[in-house]
Amino acid sequence: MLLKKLLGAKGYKVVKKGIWGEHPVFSACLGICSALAISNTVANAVAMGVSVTFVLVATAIIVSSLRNMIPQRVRIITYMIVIASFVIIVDKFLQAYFPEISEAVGPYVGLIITNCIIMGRAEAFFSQNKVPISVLDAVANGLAYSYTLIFIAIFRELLGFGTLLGWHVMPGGWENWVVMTMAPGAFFLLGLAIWILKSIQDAGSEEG
Amino acid sequence: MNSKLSMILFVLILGSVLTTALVAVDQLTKEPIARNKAVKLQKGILSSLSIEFGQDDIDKKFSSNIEIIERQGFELVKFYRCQTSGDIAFEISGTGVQGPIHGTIALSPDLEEIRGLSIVEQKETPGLGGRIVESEFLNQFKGKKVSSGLAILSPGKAAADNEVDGLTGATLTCNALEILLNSEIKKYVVMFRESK
Repeated sequence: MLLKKLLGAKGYKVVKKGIWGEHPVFSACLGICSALAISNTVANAVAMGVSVTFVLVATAIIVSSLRNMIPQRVRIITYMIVIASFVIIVDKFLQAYFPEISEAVGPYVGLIITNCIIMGRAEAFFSQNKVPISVLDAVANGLAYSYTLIFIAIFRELLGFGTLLGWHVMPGGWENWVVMTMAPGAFFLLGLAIWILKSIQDAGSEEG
Repeated sequence: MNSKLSMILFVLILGSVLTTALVAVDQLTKEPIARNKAVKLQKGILSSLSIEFGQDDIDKKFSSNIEIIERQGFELVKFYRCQTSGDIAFEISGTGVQGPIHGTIALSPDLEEIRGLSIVEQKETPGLGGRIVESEFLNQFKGKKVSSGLAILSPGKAAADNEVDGLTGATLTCNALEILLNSEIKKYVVMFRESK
């Protein structure tokens, strides 16, 4: 495969693990809070996915390049301040250059700091691996998070608002499923998504 | 001892470096953020006065169509009068559910009827209370009478000329908005009339 050649055997394995095999949301159940909160419209999901991916990559670069210098006992706090700094940078950047998106995503950008995916990858991967492979892992996990969010958001926006990316697509007599716009709808859908995707994953692993 | 010292040193250095980066980003984005805020207010005033504008001519439309009237209350308050229709717009703000709500409202020249409402800033739950910024919701306020106080009811219940349909899943935000609108309209209408 082209991708395999491009990334090398180890890189390919890391990417595959991140995007599918050890998917952060539905295998490890990390980052659930923001997946529930931000998946109400597709535009929000895309903005959140991009922001989280950026913070992941930036954290990967800093943490993995400092991995031999970070004292063991303060490593968590180190990850925290690195992540927090990049989150504030993302927030300011959105406010300055994408005011509409910044408004839509609102307080949830700040809450990327508490997104367990970033913390988890920093502790489990970035702190033990070299920079390039860490960046690959970060991109893979960011993509996995983003596509899960977008997948859920498509259903929530379609059923809850009758729109897709803000365009009305449902037929005229469509009655919005209000529950989909609220937290319970997110729980239902995320549960279903985890069930479906995990079943596909398990079926795949049985075959080979 | 030595390891503790190096630990403190590490945190100190990393902290300083990151703080410096943040200060730099803050300086860089300060101006565009302030500009976005000012433009947002202008947009709010223009749209509540139903003056059409494009992305590029906001400044021009603003200065050519609007006369600024100042009133001295506890502080200097600006009213914005549309020169063609005579409608009066002003800023309103108050508490929402998740944070402050800041908007602009335009009233008819006799200050009896709403001509337009727009929300400039809010921190309500995205997709629920956050939907108060949608034009379907805000357009309902056009033509409503303010003298007896506005009422935001549950969806589909609005009938009288001071009643508006609320949003499903955003009852608290609608209640907060109702209180905000009524108190702010009262306050500024009195101020505008009295200090004439």
